[in-house]
Amino acid sequence: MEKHRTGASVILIAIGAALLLYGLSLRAEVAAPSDEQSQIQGQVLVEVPSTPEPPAAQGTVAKDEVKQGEPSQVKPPAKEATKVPATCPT
Amino acid sequence: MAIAAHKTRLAGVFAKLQPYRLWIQTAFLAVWLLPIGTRLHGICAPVFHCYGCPLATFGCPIGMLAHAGALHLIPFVTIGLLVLFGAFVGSLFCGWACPFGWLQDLAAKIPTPKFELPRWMGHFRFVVLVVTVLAIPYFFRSVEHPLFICMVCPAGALEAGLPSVVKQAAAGQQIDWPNTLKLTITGLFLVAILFFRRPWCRVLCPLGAILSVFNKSSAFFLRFDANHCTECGRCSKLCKYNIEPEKSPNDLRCIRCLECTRCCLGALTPATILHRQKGSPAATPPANPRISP
Repeated sequence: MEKHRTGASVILIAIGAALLLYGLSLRAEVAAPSDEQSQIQGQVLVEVPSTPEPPAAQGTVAKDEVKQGEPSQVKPPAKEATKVPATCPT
Repeated sequence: MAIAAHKTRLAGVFAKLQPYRLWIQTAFLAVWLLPIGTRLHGICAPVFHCYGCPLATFGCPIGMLAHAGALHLIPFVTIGLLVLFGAFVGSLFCGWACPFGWLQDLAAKIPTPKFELPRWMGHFRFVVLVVTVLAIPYFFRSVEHPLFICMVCPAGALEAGLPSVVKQAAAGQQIDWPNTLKLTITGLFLVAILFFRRPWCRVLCPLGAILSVFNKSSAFFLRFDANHCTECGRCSKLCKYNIEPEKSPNDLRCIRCLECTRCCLGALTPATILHRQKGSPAATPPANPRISP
């Protein structure tokens, strides 16, 4: 019985560590984009609520990703690591 | 002395810590409540603590899962951390570190009549997890749905809503009250903790549901040694959560408070996969003459 537990816990620890490292690497990619284009895209995703986008940057945002008048509803691309809202609604 | 000889060093450490569990829970508040003057809300802690709390150091794993679900994102870091915490110690954090559990343990010290909860109610935690944390955020893509976990969470009302209301009242601003459903659930919770032991953890906590799944396979676990059991039933009496530890030492409903290990005969001991027991305890017939045929 304890052999099974040992095997299961080792596998789970490996899975957890892999998920954690993968998630952290995704976050690192978002935080430090490699090329200029992704840099602009990152800025747009961050700055949509407050400032109008420059024409060059608008092309990097998919049409269905921004709803007019609802800046908080901006949807980042699927499976991309982003910051979760800082507080829950009370 | 022969009875105690089989106990591991780990069991000895927990035996010494056990009487001070409430103080250890209190000490953990220093970790969860802004100890280094910074917020690490991108990382979740393995405890139920709202990150809307003005002093919260870490993110709430349940809030992070639910918000990520509303955004249709996969929160790899949160899932990875939960799997890691669970794989290492299962629900040990529930019993020893969770601030919401600490609050309920404190309330349990108030001398009011305590009632037992039916065992089947423990499964309701999984319903809460699936419905309010996973399904509603994912399918409605909204954090404003009335049954979204943060809209009904009493921890949010007490740790985030209450400080906010006090702050607004002190500043003479218009008070932005939490919604009626949340206030009702919080009110019921505050009454329930006087008459039941850990009602939230045992019936509703979605984080407890996640961590308890790992109890069956975590590296840290409770070992039952039939050779040292006299079937006196003391461990069942020591357990305040209506579990029979001698039958199911790593039960899904166990919060790993380790109260049952206080049974002096030492049939139940905390152990890890590093401390392998020779032979299978389940397969070994009881050697104690009092229960041998």
